[in-house]
Amino acid sequence: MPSSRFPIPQGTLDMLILQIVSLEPLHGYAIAQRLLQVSHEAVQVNQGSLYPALHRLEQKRWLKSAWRTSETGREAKYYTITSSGRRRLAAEKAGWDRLAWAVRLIFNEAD
Amino acid sequence: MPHPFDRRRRERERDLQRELAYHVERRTSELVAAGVTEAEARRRAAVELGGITQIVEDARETWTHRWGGMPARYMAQVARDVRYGIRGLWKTKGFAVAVVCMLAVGMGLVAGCFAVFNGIFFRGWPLPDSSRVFTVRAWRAVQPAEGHIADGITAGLYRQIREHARAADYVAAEGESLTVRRQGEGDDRAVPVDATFVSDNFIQTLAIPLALGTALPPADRSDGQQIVISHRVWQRQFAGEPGVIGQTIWLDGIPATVVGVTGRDPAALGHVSLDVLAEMSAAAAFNATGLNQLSAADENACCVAVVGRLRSGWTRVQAAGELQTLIAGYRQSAGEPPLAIALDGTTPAETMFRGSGSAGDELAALALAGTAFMLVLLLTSANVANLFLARNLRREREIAVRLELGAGRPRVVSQLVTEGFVLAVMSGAGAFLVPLVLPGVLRATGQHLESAVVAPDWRVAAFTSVAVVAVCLLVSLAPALHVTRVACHGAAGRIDRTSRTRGVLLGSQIAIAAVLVLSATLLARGIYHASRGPSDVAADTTTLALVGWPAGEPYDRARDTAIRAALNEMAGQMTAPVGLADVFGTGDGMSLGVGASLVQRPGSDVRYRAHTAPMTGAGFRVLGIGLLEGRWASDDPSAAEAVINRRLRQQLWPDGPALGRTLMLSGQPYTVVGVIPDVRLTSPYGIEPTVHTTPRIGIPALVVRNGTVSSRAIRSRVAAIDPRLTVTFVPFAASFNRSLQEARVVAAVASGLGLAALVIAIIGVFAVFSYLVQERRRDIGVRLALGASARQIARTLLQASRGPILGGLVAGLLLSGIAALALRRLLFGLSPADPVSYLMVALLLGAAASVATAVPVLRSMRIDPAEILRSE
Repeated sequence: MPSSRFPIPQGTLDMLILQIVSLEPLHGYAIAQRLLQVSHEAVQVNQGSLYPALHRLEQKRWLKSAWRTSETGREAKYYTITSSGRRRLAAEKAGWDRLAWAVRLIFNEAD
Repeated sequence: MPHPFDRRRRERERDLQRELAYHVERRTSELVAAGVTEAEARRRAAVELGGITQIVEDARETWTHRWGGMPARYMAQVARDVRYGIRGLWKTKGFAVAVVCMLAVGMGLVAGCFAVFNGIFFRGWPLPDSSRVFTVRAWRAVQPAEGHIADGITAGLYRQIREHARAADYVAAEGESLTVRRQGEGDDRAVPVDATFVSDNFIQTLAIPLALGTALPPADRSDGQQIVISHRVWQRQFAGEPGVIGQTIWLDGIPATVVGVTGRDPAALGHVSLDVLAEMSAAAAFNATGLNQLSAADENACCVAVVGRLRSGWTRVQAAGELQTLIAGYRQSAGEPPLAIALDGTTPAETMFRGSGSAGDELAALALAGTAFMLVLLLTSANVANLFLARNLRREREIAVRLELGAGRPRVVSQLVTEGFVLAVMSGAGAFLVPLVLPGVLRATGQHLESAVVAPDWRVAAFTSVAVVAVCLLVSLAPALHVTRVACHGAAGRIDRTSRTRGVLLGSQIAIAAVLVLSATLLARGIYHASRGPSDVAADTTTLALVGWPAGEPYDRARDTAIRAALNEMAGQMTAPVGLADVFGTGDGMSLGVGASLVQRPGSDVRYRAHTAPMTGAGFRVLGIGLLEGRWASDDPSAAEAVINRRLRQQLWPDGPALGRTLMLSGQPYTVVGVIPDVRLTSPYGIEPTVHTTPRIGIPALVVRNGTVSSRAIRSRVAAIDPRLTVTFVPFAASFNRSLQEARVVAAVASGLGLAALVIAIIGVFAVFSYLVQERRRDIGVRLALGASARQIARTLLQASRGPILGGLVAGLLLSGIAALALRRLLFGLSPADPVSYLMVALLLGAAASVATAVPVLRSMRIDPAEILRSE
């Protein structure tokens, strides 16, 4: 029986992270939680791959980070989206929409 | 202090660890709040996150972005691959050391050869702004069909050029070998030096740096006695005393005052070693001694060397045009035939070899050596590639797992190639020692001119770097591509592909080894052939008795003349014929007579190159050489008679009779009284035009047929003339030693290379078979268990490599044929298709291949089938 949670397609994790962080600055743990929540636990994100992805996005200057006191009173690293990150997110969304539209078109034709 | 790269990385790692710790902390407290025990919550949080090491490793990949994007990331990747490569090689130190040694030797030979090539073709004189300096070649535009008329720029013409030229400043020079001794030292302390008689502007125009003192004074303010000595002479003769300026030294017995010392570097310009520089006007005093014939002293005598330095704003083409006009005007007004001129650069290729007959030979020898060294390097590379292949295949599982895990094939290939690169770089560093050490070795053997030529520079370093990259690709790319292909496609077709790659490597090794071994065999047989003496003279039944003074005895011309007369008389009294011949040099450098003398017909400008080998008629009779016409020359040297060979006769008097004619040898007239056939008497290389006079200078050697006169009789008779005289007996063939010197060196080098090639090929074949047995261990075990005989197993193994070995051998022997043609000149008449050599090489390589295959194949027969089956 196929799992109810499907593995996240390659390359989409970056887009999801950007989308989540675009709403407010968050630390890594919160991002992981939010990912589960917003996808209604349908998407299975390997938590181990989250942090390298965050660092990658930071290296590409789509995110920036700073250590701040968290809601528990401990220091946590908060990620904020940059303006180039927003541009990137917009482009990714547009691309994704086009792809989804095209796939739907093909499926409809086949039906 | 840590590298900034490392510091940043460590900071980031700490950052990430804190981040991950926070994550685990939050998850743990969440789980605890949900009722899980603290310990269990912590464990589950860690499991959910996954391996921290892996996360750090993955994050590290992304950090490299910061340092400038792609190139930096690539560099970091290369750095990681290098570390990975070094770790891998460290685990197999034996392999790494063996490979580095083999490649370093191979690359070292090639780099050394390139250093020589670089020196000859790219290195000009070590002068400031040397690209503006050029040499002038001038020769008689129209030459006779036979012979040669020496012509060029005379001292008088040079003065015209210097006065009128506007495009360049010109200097003139003429070299001469003199001896030098300090004031108060005896003649026996005099040492030979290369003196150069130069125009007074020589030092200033060429910008030769001075270590001490001043340049030569202008000609109109000089008495011709001032000289500048080289740094080397200053160190050697004056032990570097600063008080040398103003001291008097004796040059060939003529006093001169030292006014300057040149700096260290330009101690030589091309093949001219500037030991002593004197003004041209001083040349007359040296000619007056009767020992020298310097053209610099005579306005109209040919010739002086002319060197120019372009003035700013002028090109070499303009200078050539101007020079042509000036020379044509001068020659026309003097009523002399026109000169052709050419302006060349100052590299040895342009100066040393131009107009020298041996240039082609020497460059050909260099090209041959380069080719041979390159072949050894290729052979070594093929062998190392084979080792890499075996090593990669041993790691096939590891590589397959990594490919499975998602590492791209290019990534794995680049890692494997980096390993090869690490080895190639280490070998390259070792190889660069050869060009670094070469100048020192040459200097230690007294060849200081050559040592300056071959000193390594950036070109040699660049060449070595290119060689490193090439060798890296040669040895590691094919094996890396191969093993990743095998790993990608799985076991299917694996044996097939592996054996094909290996077959090509094996075959090329055998072929290259065959070429080198055959060349070495042919050269060695050629030398052996020649050292027994040519077949057209009775060299093997003739002995030379060398008569001389014990070491340290001063030279006395009059006494030696008396000894010669006494020996002549003694030879006449012997019952069997005993000849007298002039033998020059000792031991390895011996030769009968001297080469490259110039012969002229009286009253003619045309000169012919000839070998002068003074010998009495009895000498020819002992050697079994008869006369074609005429008679032998008189044993009395004052009769000035000469015998010539047919070749010289054809050059001098192709149509008319030769007997009774006069020829000029070193300015002296000789009457031709006899002609001998063309025999290889003076050189094993072939027939030279030769002229034989009666021995005239110094003490001649005795030419004796073996078994006719006892050595004791000769010794006692020589002792009767003067008891201090020494007698040494050598076979007549020793007189070829000088001509064979070069060939001996070539043969020795070739033998060394051949031996190295053989050893490398044996190692290669051995490694291939060992691996083959290892690879098919299971197969062999099963077949043995099923009742196959040891013989059948051996046959199967040998069958697999028979094709490449035989193919390589055939290709090698065919290529050897081409190599043999290139070596023809050094074979002394031995046929390039000498069947004995080919047979020897085929047998030798066959035997070597058998030995190299026998051991692993025998080992395969000891495989215990029970053990193999148990391990299944």
